[in-house]
Amino acid sequence: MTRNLLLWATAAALMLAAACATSPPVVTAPPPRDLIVLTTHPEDGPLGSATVTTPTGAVSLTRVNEGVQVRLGSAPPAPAVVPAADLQRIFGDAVAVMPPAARRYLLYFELGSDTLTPAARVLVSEILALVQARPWPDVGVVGHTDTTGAAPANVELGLRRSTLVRDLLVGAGLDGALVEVASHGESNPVVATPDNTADARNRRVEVTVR
Amino acid sequence: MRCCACLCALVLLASPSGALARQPAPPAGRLKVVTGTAFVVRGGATVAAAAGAEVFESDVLRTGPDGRLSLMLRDESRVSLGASSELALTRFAYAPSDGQLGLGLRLARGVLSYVSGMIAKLAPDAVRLQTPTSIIGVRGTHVLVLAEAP
Repeated sequence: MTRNLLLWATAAALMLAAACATSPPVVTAPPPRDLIVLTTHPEDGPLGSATVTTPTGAVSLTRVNEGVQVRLGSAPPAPAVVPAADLQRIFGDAVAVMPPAARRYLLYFELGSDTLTPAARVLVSEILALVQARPWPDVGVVGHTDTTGAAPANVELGLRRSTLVRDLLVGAGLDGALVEVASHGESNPVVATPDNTADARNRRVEVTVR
Repeated sequence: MRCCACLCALVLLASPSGALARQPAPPAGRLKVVTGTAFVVRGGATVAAAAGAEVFESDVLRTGPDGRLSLMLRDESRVSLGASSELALTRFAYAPSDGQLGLGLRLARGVLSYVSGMIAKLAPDAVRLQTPTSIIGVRGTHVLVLAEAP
């Protein structure tokens, strides 16, 4: 009888040990899969925000260096500020090769003419100098109009103006192969206005050195 | 105008060769810095990445353990990758006058630094970063992402 009990106890112990061996480990959580951080650098402009969404939840990042670690299949936990030293260690290499921010120049014409204002003429030489200084530059020349008139006509008007500026830049020595000419018409104003509003600030050509 | 474009597209798709329909889209951007081992995967072909090369929608960028690269997109978005990373440019549309705005980046693994450009400014909901675990909506400026390989 005693012997039987001992056998049963041994068998039960063995089964328990086997069960423990095959069950998933519960001691350590799996490592975090993704780290997402909102940050800013002097060149970046104002701090924005980001929303991190998984199938089971979402969080917003709104503060400088606020980050969230997300595991696959889990809702994102509450975000926390990531120490600068960690950001440098993890992201420093990538941030170090970021290209400098694009620079944008607004060129205005003398009223009702195809002649650039004196201020715009000064900018033309600045643009050429910056293009020289940057590796693998691209130059975007985009014409913009105010909301006077129909939108399709304004796309054409913007294109006429941007082509004119392209020709001026190339005439001043810019390599034409670097230049892309486009028109945003009235769709991308500096100052939002109602339709059919004359506004000199919106009648411009933007030259962007990327 | 848009109807006309649709009609043209239909005609091209219907044409037997289909060659014209595959006219390349304008480049999405340009590689600015490449160091160490880095590749561009385009339509199944893998070529070494080089500074100055153009980047297109649907391209996949890969860096090796010693690789890094950066690019500037046409909307002034800035992107860089650290070592052992893989990023797909899943969508790039930048034609504000047609209302065509969209940017999709999918980081499969590694390190991404992204600074938003005009697409995020004009249509914040049109920017989408994907990681293996999450979708990130970006309303401006600088986001860093680490995607650890499984």
